[in-house]
Amino acid sequence: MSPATLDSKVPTGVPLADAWTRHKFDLPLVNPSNRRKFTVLVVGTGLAGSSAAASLAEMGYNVKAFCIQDSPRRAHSIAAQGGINAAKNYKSDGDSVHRLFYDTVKGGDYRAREHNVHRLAEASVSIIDQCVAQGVPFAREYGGLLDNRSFGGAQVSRTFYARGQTGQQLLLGAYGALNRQISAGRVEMKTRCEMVDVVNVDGVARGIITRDLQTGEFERHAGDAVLLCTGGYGNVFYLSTNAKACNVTAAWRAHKRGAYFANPCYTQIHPTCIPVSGHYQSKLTLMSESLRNDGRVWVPKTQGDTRSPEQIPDADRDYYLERRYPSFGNLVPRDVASRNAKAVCDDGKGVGSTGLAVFLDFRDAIQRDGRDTIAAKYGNLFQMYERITGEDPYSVPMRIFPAVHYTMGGLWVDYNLQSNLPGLFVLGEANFSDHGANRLGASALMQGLADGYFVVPATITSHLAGASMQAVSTSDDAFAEAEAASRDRFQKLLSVRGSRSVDQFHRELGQICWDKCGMARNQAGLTSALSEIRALREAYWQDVNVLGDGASLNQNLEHAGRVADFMEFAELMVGDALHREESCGGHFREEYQTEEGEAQRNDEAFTYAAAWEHKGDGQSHELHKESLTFDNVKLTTRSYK
Amino acid sequence: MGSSSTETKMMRLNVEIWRQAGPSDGGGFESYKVEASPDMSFLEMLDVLNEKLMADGREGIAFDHDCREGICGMCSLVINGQPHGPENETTTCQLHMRNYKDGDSITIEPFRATAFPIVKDLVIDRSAFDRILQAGGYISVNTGAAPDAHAVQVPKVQADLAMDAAACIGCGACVAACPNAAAMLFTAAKVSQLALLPQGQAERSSRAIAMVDQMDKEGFGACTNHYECMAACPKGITVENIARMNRDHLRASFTSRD
Amino acid sequence: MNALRRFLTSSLGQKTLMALTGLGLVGFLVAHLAGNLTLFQGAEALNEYEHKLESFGPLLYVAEAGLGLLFVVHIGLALRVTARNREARGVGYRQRTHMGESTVASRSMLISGLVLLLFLLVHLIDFRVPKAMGSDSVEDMGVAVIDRLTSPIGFLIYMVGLTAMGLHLRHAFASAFQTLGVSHPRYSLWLRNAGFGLAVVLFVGFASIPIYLMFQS
Repeated sequence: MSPATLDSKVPTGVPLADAWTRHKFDLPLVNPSNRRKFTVLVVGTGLAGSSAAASLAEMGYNVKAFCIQDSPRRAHSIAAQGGINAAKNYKSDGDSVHRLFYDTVKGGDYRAREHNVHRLAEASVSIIDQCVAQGVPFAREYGGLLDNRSFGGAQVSRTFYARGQTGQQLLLGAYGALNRQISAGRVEMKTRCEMVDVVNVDGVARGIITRDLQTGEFERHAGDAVLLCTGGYGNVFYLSTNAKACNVTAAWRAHKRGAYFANPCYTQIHPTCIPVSGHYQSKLTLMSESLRNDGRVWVPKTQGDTRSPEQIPDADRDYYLERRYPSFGNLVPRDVASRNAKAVCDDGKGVGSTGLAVFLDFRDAIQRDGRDTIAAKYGNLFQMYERITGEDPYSVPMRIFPAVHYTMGGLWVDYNLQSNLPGLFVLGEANFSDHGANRLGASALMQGLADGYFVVPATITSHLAGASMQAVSTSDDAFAEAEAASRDRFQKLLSVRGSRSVDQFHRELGQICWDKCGMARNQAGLTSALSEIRALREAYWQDVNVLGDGASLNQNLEHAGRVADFMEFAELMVGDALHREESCGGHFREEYQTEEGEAQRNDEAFTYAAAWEHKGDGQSHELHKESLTFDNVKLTTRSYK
Repeated sequence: MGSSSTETKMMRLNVEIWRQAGPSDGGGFESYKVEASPDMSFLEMLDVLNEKLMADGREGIAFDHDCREGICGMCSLVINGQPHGPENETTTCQLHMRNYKDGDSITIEPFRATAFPIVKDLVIDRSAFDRILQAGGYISVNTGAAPDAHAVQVPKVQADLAMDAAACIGCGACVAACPNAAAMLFTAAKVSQLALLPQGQAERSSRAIAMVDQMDKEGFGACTNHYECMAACPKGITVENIARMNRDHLRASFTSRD
Repeated sequence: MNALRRFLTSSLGQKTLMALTGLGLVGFLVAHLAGNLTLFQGAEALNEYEHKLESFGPLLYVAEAGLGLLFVVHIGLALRVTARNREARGVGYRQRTHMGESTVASRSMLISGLVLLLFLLVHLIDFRVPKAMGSDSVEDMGVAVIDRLTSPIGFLIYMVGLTAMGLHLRHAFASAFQTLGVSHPRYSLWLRNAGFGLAVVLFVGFASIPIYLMFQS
């Protein structure tokens, strides 16, 4: 089942700009009357899942969709604030599909697949059309046309937005399309329902096992293709900007059934989040990156300066980003800003009661533009900050600190978004494909919707039309085996009855990952993390305390199952970080940096996607490489000096 | 260091929480004591209480939550008689314990409505909302069939009003606050959003009728215009939307040819 | 489904009917007050007004039937909608903090409505029923009314009825417009104030009559 080399199936012999069009032409078709003979299982209903389920149902496929929340509308895509990129060039400022492609490849630090990124840039244009037609209330100018704003990593205005709730509005648009198909009887929707395993029949993904979170019942669902649209694994760090229920379970279960996991060490740390206030902290809240347009980042020059910030004169302040990066200043990319914040805090200059924060100061902006101007720009953000911290950012500088935000790694997929496991497609944040080692702002929404609306509906035929599919029944042995294994796993968690809570274990795991596989990594730390994680995992199965039973809603049991998978996944993430002996994007190895402390890639040795194969519990993973070629963009070193 | 490091004083609170083992269980209030820091969010206070309960071998309190940043609409709770607690335009997950002081008593109840049956403890089933939207809360446009986004201009005022209505997070606080457990604000927000946009005109009449129809079928009450929904709404959706829906429904009922 | 039937069985349709009948009843109250104000010129003036009404003959009965229908529909729907609303809540809250524009008036619509209904029945038994039976005692309606209003019990009942009416109108008037979809941020406050003003004017108008009469006697 495991091919020796990974075939990305990108079209060859066609110019990049024509590749997607040509590929769509070359794909086999399933005629409309045959589509109803196929059942597609869609797991997750965020942007990727909702849009894919709706689009496939519109085309005539039978769709069954699953989500763990009480409604598809609550998937975490809803929390995206900033916007969505599209190469519409409505501002006539020189934007084009090629420029969006170029910016994204460069922003990803040259670790993404060129063909996927170009296709993404092409699809971006249609996404905006689709969403507007659905009634997504994007911001408008007075003339009634769509407004744009600019975002990090780009020199053009191409970001479409709906106030600070772009993700919400796009998801509600896709959810509307999904609702329409549910109402038409084309989609069967199961909520509060968690996928706990993938079922392979004859080496092809033919179904899933789910657990109904309200009744605890295990169910078997058979289909002709399985689409995982289950988001990222940021919660392996416990504290992140992700929603509490975000997890790696679906992806990890698929991985254990044969799907390769690619580049798990690529994690994105967002520089402007509200810092941790105490041990009880349950999640971190993002403050929009736009604040760095007017706020100045600083720490006291000397360690242990206990004066309140407004009493520290400029001479005693270190505006370290402005000092180190005179041309970009406070607007350096996310990874650079995050690393520098960590560096000054490691140096003992961090502020706040924990020493793990830096100031983001609006004093000068308020003096220059007046309080009203600043309030008009950032009023709602200031209000949110005050609500959470109890401090007034108009008079006291904000305290910010980086936090885990997004994961670029994910299940390996080819150009058709199909994993190496036939029949298993992976969309959105759950796959690894489009962002390389670092994602630019306003690109996650673009990818989720491109995958769901435009890519998978076209490429799924590569699987459905090609093979002569045998009918599969849920009474097949493979289903029985997978269901029994799932039952056992949950039963085991319930029977430990140890002394420590799931949350305690999860926090501990998160702390190890954050300390040793967070913003900066090194060999010694990663090596020790590996053994710490293994020890913790062993302790988990000996000493975790999960109360209640499995026959009704049991949130603690749900969490326990997800943490069990994080425990296994963490080891792979750390292992990948250890293997990648270079620094790129969100992956910063301290051993590999320039003299100025910037990330240093090793293009000769590491211009590949690392796809890991699970060889069995207790066995080490096998590495498969997909080498990346850059024919259309020249590899350079990013510089923001 | 820094101005913020005011010594965090822990406060002791008495909380009374509705516990109910399952949909068909009777349920009742139970009292707990919990220590909380003023910097905690309300849900973190419940996390701490749950950890304590579980350490004592008792099952934790089930409550819905997810994003914890006020946008997913999963959190609920009626806190001392107010959905999402006392803060204006704030969801429970963004409510912080500095709103309370040492020795306070806090009563926590689930959102109450026949159409929102209790699943367990404070967890409710809000699928009635999904079914209302399934009845017509969308614009019928297949993927790929859309014209260019600039084909139709939308006056900024209209777009802004549509966005005001679209900000609804579907939490159900409006139903919880309404003396009649009516879902008018929720339903009206979607009817309104789409009625305000040119794209939504084709199905405007059928949408208003179908969604109101479904709302009634779900067993929600009728509006008696106390506007408690608007006061409870964490996203500031206004009752002007309800008037707009009433208007559309009235007009559609007498003029539509469907 | 027949569109009209669907409308009339929907919650919005029923609320719309309640709003329309309610506004109709407000119109009746205004007319009624205008008639009653003739008492300021003495019992004779009222009798004269009444005779004029009677001169409409059968038309008056049609009007009265219409008025009765307004009451029946309004009250019937109120009971129905209220029952439905109670059912929609199911289990109530232990603790409840009222918000928004919830007022004593808005929360007591059912009670004020029922008190008004009682008052209406007493009122009809006092004046309308005997007349219909052809009783002599109401030959002189003006005197009968003055007798009633200036007796302590009659005055008390009258004032209770008026208070209920004032409370009911305080919420009802603006509420009816909202239900009918008449709403605009520029005029909403104005409408609410108008509802309050109307409640005050009708209350003061009706109440001024017995007070004036008592000072007279």
